[in-house]
Amino acid sequence: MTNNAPLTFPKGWPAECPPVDAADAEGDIYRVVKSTPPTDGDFLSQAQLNQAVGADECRRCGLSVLRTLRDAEHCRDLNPHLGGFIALAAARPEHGKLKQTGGKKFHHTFWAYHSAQLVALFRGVDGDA
Amino acid sequence: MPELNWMPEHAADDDIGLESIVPEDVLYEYDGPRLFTVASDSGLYLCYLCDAGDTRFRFVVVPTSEKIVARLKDGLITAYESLDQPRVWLIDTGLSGEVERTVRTNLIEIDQRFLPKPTVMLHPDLEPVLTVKLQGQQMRAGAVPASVMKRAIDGAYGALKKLAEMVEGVQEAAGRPVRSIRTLYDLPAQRVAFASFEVAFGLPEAAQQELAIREDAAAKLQRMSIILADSLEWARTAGGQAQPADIGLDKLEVLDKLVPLRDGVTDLVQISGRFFPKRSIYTLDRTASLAVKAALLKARARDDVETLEGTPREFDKDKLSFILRNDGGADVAHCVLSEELADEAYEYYHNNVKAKVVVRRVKDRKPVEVLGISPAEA
Repeated sequence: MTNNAPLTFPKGWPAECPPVDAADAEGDIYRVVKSTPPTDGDFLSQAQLNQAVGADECRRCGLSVLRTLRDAEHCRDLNPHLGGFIALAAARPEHGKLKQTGGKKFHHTFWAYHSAQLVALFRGVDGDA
Repeated sequence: MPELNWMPEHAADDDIGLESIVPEDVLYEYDGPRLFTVASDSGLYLCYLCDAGDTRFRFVVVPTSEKIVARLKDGLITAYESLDQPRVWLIDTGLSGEVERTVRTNLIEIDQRFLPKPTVMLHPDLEPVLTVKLQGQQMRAGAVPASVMKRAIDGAYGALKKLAEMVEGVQEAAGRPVRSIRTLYDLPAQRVAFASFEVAFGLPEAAQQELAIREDAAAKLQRMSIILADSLEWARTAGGQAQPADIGLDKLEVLDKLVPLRDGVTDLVQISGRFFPKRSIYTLDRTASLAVKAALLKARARDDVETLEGTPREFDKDKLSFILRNDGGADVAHCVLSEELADEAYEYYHNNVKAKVVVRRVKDRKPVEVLGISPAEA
């Protein structure tokens, strides 16, 4: 089935968000999640949670992701309260935009298109904590 | 998200003069800052986001210094260690950082589910390749015997060297191994900790990687890690089995360098690091030691291992070899040594002392590999 609807980001995001140098999402992306399979609550941005008001508005609209399982395991072990599980998605351009952010090479921000069904996109990784 | 419904039992309300928690130096972020410094009139603090609810955040807050932060950034201390300070507070804030409540507590009273795991470093790249930690009931900071430190360092070094030789297939080479494989086992010691005794090794330094094997060093290290993980899995269960599986002499000799000694203050050896998948931590106790020793005896009895007697002559310090001669002056064997045994063997040569030498004959090669040396009975 072909979906030719234009890819758009959710309403309410600041102008020029994601930034122009964010690339089409491509490749594996990992999230630390509270359950496997993950639920909607595992994919809420800081903006959706009303957290860090006053911080970078565009980054608040995205989700932090890691690009390797090792980096995701490290994140999980450094921050146990985030959840004991790791979820993986094979990101593609039709899912959103991706950019390394925060000055650390392992940290990326993923801005998902409005149409991206994140719960369906991500699956639990075997051998979680 | 459920609200923050936990609090350490003896937490007491306090005030350290912070009105808001505003990150200054963000050390780790994931959906916002997770570990960062905060500067205030009363000094520098390290803040760790330990829990979040619908309407508030909870932070572990400790006094810190530029030196501690630098050590954290350099991988010399773990995240947990950076928070393990004499004064510890839990601070609840609203979602934009305004302080709502401050309580004084101790790190040990905080539920471990809300703290970094003990061995995790600030960043994934700072994780040691291999960490060997020796623990014993009689060990404490400031009173770790030198023999324990030597065992940890020699054991890790010896195990890594054996693994590198297995991967490179250079076990049959005479004496001193080619310089190129030193990169794989002569790893830089990243940190040493003394509460029990722990030594952690990092990746080969860039300078060492000018050598021929630089390009596939990562692949070789990965193969070494698979062999080591396999060996440690065996050791974890072998003690409880009447007839453990045969893993081969090489893997047993790796384990022999790591298990707790039969006598001594070390009760447990914990092995962890980037070497292993899923951040596994392997614990070896004396049950594992007994299983390894028993399996080694059996494996060596099968292999062409024998004991020779003679006096070491013509010691070659470059090739790490000597000629073993009997009392009549005839050659018994051309022996090659590991670096670990070289000093000991040299003493027999230098003092003209007759020795009992346990050797392994490698098929089709004249030099025999020395496994151990001790004084010959009078």
